[in-house]
Amino acid sequence: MSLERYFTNFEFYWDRQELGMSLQTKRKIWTLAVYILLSLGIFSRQITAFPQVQMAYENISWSTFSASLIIGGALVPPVMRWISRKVKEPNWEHAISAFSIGFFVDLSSKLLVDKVFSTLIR
Amino acid sequence: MKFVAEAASTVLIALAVFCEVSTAQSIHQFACPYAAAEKLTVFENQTRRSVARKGAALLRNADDGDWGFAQIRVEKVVGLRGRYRDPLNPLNGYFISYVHDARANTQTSMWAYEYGRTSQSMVDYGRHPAFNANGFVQFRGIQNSITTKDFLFVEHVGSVPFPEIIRTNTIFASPGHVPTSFARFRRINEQLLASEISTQRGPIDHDKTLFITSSLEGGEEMITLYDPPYVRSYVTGRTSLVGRAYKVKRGDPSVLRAIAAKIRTLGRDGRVYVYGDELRNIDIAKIADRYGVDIVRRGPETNKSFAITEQRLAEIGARKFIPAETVFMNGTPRTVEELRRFGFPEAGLDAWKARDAEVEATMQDKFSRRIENREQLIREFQDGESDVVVMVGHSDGERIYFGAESISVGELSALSARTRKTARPRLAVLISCGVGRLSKGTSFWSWKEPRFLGETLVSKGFVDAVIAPDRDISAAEGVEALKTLLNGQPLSTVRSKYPGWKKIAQGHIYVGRDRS
Repeated sequence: MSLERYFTNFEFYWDRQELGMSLQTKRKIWTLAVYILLSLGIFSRQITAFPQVQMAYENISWSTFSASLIIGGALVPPVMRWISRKVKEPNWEHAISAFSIGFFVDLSSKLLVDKVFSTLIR
Repeated sequence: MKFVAEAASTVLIALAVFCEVSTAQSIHQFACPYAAAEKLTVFENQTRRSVARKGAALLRNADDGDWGFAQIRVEKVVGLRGRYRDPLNPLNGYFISYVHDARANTQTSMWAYEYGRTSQSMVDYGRHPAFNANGFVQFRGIQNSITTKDFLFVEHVGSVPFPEIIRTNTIFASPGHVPTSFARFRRINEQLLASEISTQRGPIDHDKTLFITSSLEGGEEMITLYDPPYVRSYVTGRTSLVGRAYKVKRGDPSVLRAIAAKIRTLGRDGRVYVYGDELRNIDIAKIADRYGVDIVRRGPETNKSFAITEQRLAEIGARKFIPAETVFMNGTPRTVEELRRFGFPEAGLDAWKARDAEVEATMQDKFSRRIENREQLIREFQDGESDVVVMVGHSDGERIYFGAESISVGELSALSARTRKTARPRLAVLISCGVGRLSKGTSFWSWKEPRFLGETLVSKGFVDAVIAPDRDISAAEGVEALKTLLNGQPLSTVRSKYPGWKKIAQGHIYVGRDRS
């Protein structure tokens, strides 16, 4: 599988055989939506002072955001393909999963970065 | 007794009045020219602006010799009783305002008939001093000017006697059916005229053929129905097209009824040619299918003689389907690599393989040669002599994919057109999404809207006719359509289940019919 296909083929509508572009366009729109939801998940995590239940806009950090996007981007495709094997048409499961991956990857990467950084300083 | 006498005298008086009126009618040979001039002045004042506006819109950017615009209204004009007006006995007067150039110069006149009967002699009231004094012109002058035009567009209120006004190709329209913009409308009708409908004796059976032009401009959809008998002018000796224009609005039953009425008269072996843009507010194919009339579609960018098309289509319709004269290209994906190249999900490979097997089974023993690559496809189009070319493959609008190969519509457009007709007319059956669409021919600077595959094949002369869908289709639909056609069923049978399958420049096509 090529690199481009790794990031763009989420096996949406895999059971439908159409000889045209409208279904391809739908697949591309959903793929884009997945990445947007992933980014939204990351961004949402950054503006919440988790585990406290309050907003913390000052927490927005571009470095964490970028790292989360890279890690999330690597994790999202196989998860989406796995969900698509069971759910042929893209739906809320794909959407929530993308958002959740973004949220928790950002959370875990922040904890990881903090842990590693503090250990290094000591 | 007195009562009886009074009743009798009343009856006698009434009878006398009636006789006098009847007698008076028979002597009202003419309409009063002074009364007519008065009414014509009112008509001109009322219509001057709208006539000038519509005439200017029609003639904008057109050569003066191409089109003219006329508004005609039938009005009652008082009759003449000797030298006096007789308002009780009006005659029909035909008022005309005529725009003959792009500067919207307007001429106004009137004509009528002796005794008010169109079977009698025509009277040109423009010759009367009462008309000249008001700046009106002779109707004959207007008729002579119309003769110099390629087309005349007539907006009329009331029934207009044709022979006086038809001096060239004429399109009639009622108020409410005049387009706001004429550029596209004009162009498509001019192209129809240039496509050799051949009103003289020829391969087209004009009693069984209806020509419809369709134009879409600024969201406004217009159709013009042309049907025989075309009018032969006893003055000019020319045979002119006569059509009626309609503005097509969604949910308007009057236009549907008009088209249905015309199509019904053609009979089951009749044919409708629809030339021009795709319209959304009306489905003419559905109406044609209802009456078993064949429908032929031609895009506005195709300029080919209808007479030649008709001849070729008649040959296709009459011949037997011969597998030895059929070639086949199967672009259904069979491998993971092909799915990847098309951008399709890989999980559907088994389903695609099953569909491929269906296509192969459908075409088994139905062809003699298979097209495997681009070079073979190009050679088949440019030099081939097969009767039928069947192509199954994925299309993204620009390219059509088959196996490891693909070819773009642009590449096919760049090939030289066939200059010599094939010995036998050819048909292409395209099982691919949207390749049956017709382009509008839009251009912007150096960019021109590309044609779709079906239209390209016809315009290049690679094939004489194409059967293709004008929208995205599923592989299942494609297989079923192919089976239906190869079983000898007409395309209307496919359309009854799957609308949008089009015949481009094609007549009665029975792909698989065995006429032995």
